[in-house]
Amino acid sequence: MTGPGDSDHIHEEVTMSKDIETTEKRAIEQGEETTWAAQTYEPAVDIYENDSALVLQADVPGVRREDIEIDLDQDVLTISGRVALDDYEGLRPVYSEFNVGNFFRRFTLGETIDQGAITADMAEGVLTVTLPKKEKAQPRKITVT
Amino acid sequence: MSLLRFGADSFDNILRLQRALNRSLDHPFFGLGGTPSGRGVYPPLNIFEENEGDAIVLKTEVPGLTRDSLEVEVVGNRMTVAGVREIVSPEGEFRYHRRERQAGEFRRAFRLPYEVDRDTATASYRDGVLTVRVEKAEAVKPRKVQIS
Repeated sequence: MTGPGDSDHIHEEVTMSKDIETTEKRAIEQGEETTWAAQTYEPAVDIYENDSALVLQADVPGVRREDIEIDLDQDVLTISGRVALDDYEGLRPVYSEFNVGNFFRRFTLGETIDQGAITADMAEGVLTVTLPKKEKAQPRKITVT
Repeated sequence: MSLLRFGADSFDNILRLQRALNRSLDHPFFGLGGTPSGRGVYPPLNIFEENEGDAIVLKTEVPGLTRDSLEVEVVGNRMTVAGVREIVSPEGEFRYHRRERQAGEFRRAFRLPYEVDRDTATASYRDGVLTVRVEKAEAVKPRKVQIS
């Protein structure tokens, strides 16, 4: 054990994680999907489908509600989020384990979506987009009489 | 290492932050000689010094938690960050197309290179980013000495 002042660096003492592991933030290859010079990341997503809708949840830490853009063009859903930087003003990085950047991800949807009924919500850096299926795409229950 | 100062161009600002973080990846502030670094451990942390170096600011991306499930402790030069992330399954019948987000429990405790003043510690959780700010102990704060 070293006491305070004996070392000039961070000394990790306890690391515990259960069911959760660090996966590197997935950086988008430069020029592949955007022409931005800065590094952009792909958010981790969960997507599930039920009878009435497709629901997408994306981890976009550091992005504020007003800085999220959701676009559905035909069957291509695009999500982009601009990370807020004002908190970093006047800081000097001394130790770093991850980088910070905007988020971007694009999906081709297999379902016909009711464009006008799309809703989105942001809470604690998690974006939830609900994409209701168009009536005709919903399974119909036919009762045999 | 220089202080982050941002201008009006947001892409330029992002680049500036990314370059600064890249440069600090191999800064001796974290343990190289035999001490395990936090690389590969959840959640990854970034640590900054504020202005004149009087305070340190820790930031970590832990989206989708509740404030109640987060725990931050500062004692001496030791800091602990812990939390639990739950992902609630949707109700009714559903099927997953993709499942990439992780849930679970984490705890990281580490010692900083200097003593901090725990009475000054504040923590905030906003947009899925946990920020902890704490001032260095008086004895290790940099002091400008007036020349008389």
